[in-house]
Amino acid sequence: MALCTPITADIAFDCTAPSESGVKARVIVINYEDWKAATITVDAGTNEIDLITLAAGGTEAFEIQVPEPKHIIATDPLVIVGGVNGYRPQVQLSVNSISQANYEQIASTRFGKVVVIVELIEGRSILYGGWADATPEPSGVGMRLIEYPGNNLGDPDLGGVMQFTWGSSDTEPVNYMPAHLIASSFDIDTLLTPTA
Amino acid sequence: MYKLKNENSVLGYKGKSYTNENLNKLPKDFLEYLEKNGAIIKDKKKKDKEPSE
Repeated sequence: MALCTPITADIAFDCTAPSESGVKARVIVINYEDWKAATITVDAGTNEIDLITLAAGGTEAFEIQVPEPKHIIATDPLVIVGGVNGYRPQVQLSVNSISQANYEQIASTRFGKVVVIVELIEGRSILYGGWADATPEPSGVGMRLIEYPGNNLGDPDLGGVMQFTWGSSDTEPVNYMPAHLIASSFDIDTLLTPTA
Repeated sequence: MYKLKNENSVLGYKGKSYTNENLNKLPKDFLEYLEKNGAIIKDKKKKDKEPSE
């Protein structure tokens, strides 16, 4: 994946098989250290991650459900930190499961980082905060809790819900790769089962 | 002998890349773990090539 080369290929619109837009109303969250310890395979043709195997010993990913897909806002802007530009993943969620235990779960990520998988309706998924390097091995900056607005009390859809944002830290150098695609052939639900 | 589910895949482990060409050079217990988790499968073809009676 060259970083300093010009664009070398067209991006065509395939009108015979257009992608179905939209995301599903949930994300899959992997603790950053578990992501870094995972084994991944990448399709040599598409560069998409086609398999993630978490390390042995009971590691697992976690599902966070939101009321509707619109309650997931995932972005990956290109920014400059310390004179180096790179992508800064950010995922904002509005969760309608307001409990102190859930608050505390999310608050713990102000120290412990995560990577987040957003599932596309069309079958593939997008990984925010992580990507496959050239080996391929798990790479990426991960994301921490950066904002906890909590409530939009005047909003009929979002009022009183648990709203928070994960992003890469201001003080951490950003990395170079944008969010990575995960192939539709990989069933991301397998990540939710603890490994033996 | 094992092979990757997707023959076009590349697997990374400890800084090295593995395809079906060299996958079986990985440690045996790691291969067994990958198989248990569905990442790789037994390569029946290669087993067939083994000497038979």
